[in-house]
Amino acid sequence: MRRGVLLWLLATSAAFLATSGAFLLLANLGAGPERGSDPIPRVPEAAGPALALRFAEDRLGELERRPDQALTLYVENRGDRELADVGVSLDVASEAALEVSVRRYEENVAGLAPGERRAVEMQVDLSPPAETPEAQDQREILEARATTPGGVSAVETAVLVP
Amino acid sequence: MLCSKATGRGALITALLAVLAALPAAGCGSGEDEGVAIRPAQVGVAEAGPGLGPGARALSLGPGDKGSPRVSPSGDRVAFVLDGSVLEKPLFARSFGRRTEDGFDAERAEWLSGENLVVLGREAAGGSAETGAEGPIPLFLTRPGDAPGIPPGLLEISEGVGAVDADPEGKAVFAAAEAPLANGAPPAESSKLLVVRGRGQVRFYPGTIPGRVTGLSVSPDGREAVLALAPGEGGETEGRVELLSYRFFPHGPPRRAALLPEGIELLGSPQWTSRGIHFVAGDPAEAGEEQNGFVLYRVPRGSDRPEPVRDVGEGFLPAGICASPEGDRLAVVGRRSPDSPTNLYVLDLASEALETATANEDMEVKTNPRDLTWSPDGSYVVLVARGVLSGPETYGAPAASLSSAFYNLYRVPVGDGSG
Repeated sequence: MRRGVLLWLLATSAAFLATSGAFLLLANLGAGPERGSDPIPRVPEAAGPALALRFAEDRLGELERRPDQALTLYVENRGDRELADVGVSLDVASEAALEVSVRRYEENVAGLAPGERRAVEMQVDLSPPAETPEAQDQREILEARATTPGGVSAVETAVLVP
Repeated sequence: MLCSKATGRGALITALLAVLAALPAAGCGSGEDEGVAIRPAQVGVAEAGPGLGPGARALSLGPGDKGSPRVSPSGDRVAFVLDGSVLEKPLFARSFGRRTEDGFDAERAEWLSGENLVVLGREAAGGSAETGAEGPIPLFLTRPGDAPGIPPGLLEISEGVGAVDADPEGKAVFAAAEAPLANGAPPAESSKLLVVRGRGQVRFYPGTIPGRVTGLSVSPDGREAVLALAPGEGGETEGRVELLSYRFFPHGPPRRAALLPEGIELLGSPQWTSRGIHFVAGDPAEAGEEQNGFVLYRVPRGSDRPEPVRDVGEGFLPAGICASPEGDRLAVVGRRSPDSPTNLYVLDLASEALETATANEDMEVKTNPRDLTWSPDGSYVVLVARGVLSGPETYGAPAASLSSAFYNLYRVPVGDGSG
């Protein structure tokens, strides 16, 4: 009797597992990167979240389209080894004039211990590249990159609306 | 022994229950840990879908003002204008080729066979294109480049072109160019029609068109065209847009198809369809004022009286329209009411059924008529859109990998096409 109950429990669990697995597989297929509405496939980035980069998002909304805007980026070492030298760059461009007027800002972070997070402050010029009504309506692109001489990198993009 | 056996089963059941308990956590592993200051590095997809509904797929990525998409006759490439330059690329590839130099001020490009493109635009003068000018501009031919990354040379076909349209099979591009009169009258007073064949051979059609052509639409068999003339400056056409029909073969003089009321603005080119001429124009109730409401009209075959197209529903606000390659359907970008989102609709002209092709909730769709095009097989429409942002947005990817953050091209399956 007891053996029968145990067998019944085992069979029920196995059936539940199989059903759950099938549903999870279907759900992951539906939500994965191969959705019909997803854009063309992207080039896979280097694996390994050894370095992370993020804008101080709560302050992005305070930025104005003028010179001398204070911007903060956070860079974090998520690896298990110290990163001796991390270069942080920021490219500022207008949506419709990306190739003709990019403003680049660079900073260096020396010695980032495992698990350490550091704020990087920058004074940036966010004024439109041209004084035209069209330029004022364009979105501003802030593309930040953190890289190490060893090839570890992270990228984060912020898009500001007029 | 039994106890030992029972203990083994108990361990097995415990393990199974533990696996069951862990399953939901594994399935929802994408949730963010709020305690982490910097979110985990993202691999691959960095933004949500474009928000145009199921089936819509981005054909381009990255920033830049994109427009005037055109799908090649073979259906496997797309050309478009990016910040004034003409680019073309395989439909789903990231890489693209430039057909014009930086600083070129292209308005649109049309495919010809052999992957040649006819480009309507201005060449850069002194390093920058003369922008902002309106009216007729030159027409060029560009062939595929010999060297990757280096735009091929441009061959000027004609000056003073005001309108172009292409045969979906790539056999010919039709254009209307200014025809200066011998008596010294301003050149904008009349036009001539010309056709550019696959390798760039140009032929002018006999006769002149009495006015400046601003819109042109050719029938699928290339035998007929519908023309829009800019408002005249005197006589019956003073301040009034005139629509003409023209027969290339057998050749005949242009015939008036409709004369719009004075002060009514025409949006884009009138479209030749199997059920007559379709066009979007201002509401006569707003004649002479700033026009906010536009109406889709039809001039049935054999008639010269435009009538509102009721099939789209009362209060529908159309913007861009584009006839399908067979001329039996009409792609319409518009809104069902002033408070509705802009969507792509397809009007079947035979059944008078209006199909909603997109389910837009958070995208700005470009409404310029030239930013709308059909695939040669009529299975999908390409439009240009970008996501609505209410404030700053961050993405864990380079700007060049983002689609909905900027104006990009989207392929939208329509009808029973597989897309």
